[in-house]
Amino acid sequence: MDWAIETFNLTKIYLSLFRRRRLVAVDALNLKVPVGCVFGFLGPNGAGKTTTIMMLLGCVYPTSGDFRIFGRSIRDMGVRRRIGFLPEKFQFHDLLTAEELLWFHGRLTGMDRHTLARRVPEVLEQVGLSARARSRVREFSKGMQQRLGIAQAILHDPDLIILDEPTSALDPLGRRDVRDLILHLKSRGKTVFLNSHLLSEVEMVCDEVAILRGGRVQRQGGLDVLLQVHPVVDVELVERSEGVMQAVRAMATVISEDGTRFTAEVGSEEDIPALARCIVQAGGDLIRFAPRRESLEDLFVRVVEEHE
Amino acid sequence: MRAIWLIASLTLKETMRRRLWVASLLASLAVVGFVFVAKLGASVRANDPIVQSVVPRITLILGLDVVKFFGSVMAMTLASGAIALEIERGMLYAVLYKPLRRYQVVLGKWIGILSFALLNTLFWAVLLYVCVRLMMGRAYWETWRAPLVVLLYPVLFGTLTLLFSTFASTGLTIALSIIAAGVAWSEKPMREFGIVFDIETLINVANNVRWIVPMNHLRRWVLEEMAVIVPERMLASQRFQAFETPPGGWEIGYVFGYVAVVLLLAIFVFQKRDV
Repeated sequence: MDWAIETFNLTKIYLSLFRRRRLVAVDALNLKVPVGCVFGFLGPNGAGKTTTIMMLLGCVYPTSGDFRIFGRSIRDMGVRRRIGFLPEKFQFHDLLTAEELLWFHGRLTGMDRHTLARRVPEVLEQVGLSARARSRVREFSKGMQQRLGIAQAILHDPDLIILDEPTSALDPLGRRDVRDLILHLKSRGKTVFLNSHLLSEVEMVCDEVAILRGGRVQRQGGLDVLLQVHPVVDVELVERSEGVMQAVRAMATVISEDGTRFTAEVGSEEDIPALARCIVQAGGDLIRFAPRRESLEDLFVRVVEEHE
Repeated sequence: MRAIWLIASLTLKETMRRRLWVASLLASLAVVGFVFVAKLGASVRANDPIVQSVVPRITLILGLDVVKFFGSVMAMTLASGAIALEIERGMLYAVLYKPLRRYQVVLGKWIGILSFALLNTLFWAVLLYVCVRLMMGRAYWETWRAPLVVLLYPVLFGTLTLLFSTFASTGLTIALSIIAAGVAWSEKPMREFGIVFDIETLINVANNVRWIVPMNHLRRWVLEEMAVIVPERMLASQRFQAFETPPGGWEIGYVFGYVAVVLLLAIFVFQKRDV
């Protein structure tokens, strides 16, 4: 498998002045992010997420360990051209217009004038700022600045896009736009490395996640693997029937009942399809049959609490 | 190379849009006002040769002092925000991951700040040339030389402040650059007090200070350049005894070497630090 990001015992220790105190921000981090994946990088505040991102971008130097981006060092300028980044806390040169700012960043990335003339209006349109192309950045709201930050990150069509809290200043519509954008990037084979506290957003777009705690990866894997499926099912019928309920009770424990709705617990995850068949065979008309699944938030809380 | 010019032009563009030049423009209006009043006064005493020659020369001395002060303060202001403030505000994060080296960021900032200082100095050189030309009735090409030496003031203080900006916070950078300017400025009064009150320690400190921030070399160089059109007896008030001799070639070389070393140090520190 090709990896967009690989870290090998990546460690960052901050020492206070005179080296009296040491803070281990990232502790022997081993991470593998497959190419073309939307990867959620999660963790509570102070877990070392931003330090890791800053190391991956060459802004912070590791104390020990190493990492590779597309199999190469970050010192390689060719690799840097393949990265787009939206920082969490940022402020742009606010006396420039949106267009000027994108031209500046595009030129820095090595884009030629011809490509920029085409690409700048395109990305401004993509992030919904084309009407404000000639406005100065200082006139922009925080949400608009965040959109401009995203435009800056995808302007040069990078293969790896690192987004650090991309929706923190956005309204629900803006969040949906960013979600669509991430899915669009994924459909084009791009790798998205997403750091966000909005777990519901992450759950909707990510293929894989890593949960960081105390500078170490506590869990990493595909969401379908990490999120446990409970053997509990919420059912709603068109009409309540004692025959159906008896059939259900024969193979499951009914936890709660409320009119045409009930919740049943089966022995294991494998019994869930059998329960559905049993209800239909007993003559029940199903409106809803929803196995309960652990949410990313549940997993996050569980992992963080396990390591407290 | 392209990254350096892009950052330099961005720095210059931002500086122009911040309208820092308005302060310089207002100061120039004050000088023009002074010239106008002086010209009126001189016309009343049109037959007095001393008045006729003194007024334009005072204008030149005054103008150069203004350029020294504003040029240095502007360069320090710009340099203090160039790196430290951009890190604090997160502006540099969107730049540093791009395919460029950190030395290009420092050099770009340095060139941008100095380009503004150069524009400011050129503006003042033209203004002083025109003022002296109008008042003395003839062209003095020598009036171009002193302002060009004065340009080294913002170069010196801008570079030093840029070095502070690579490792300190904005507030600390400003404090350090003010201390550096204070150290440089204190040399002359320390030497004068030392000589007048015969305090050898003070003279020794002054002798060392001139190497820590070599502003005095520049001051003496400017006096040397002004001597072409300003009579010695007028410069005497600005000079102090034998120490105020024109700087030797190696002293001028020391200033250039000092700026180069400080700039290299800024690049080295910024290269090594976490952002």
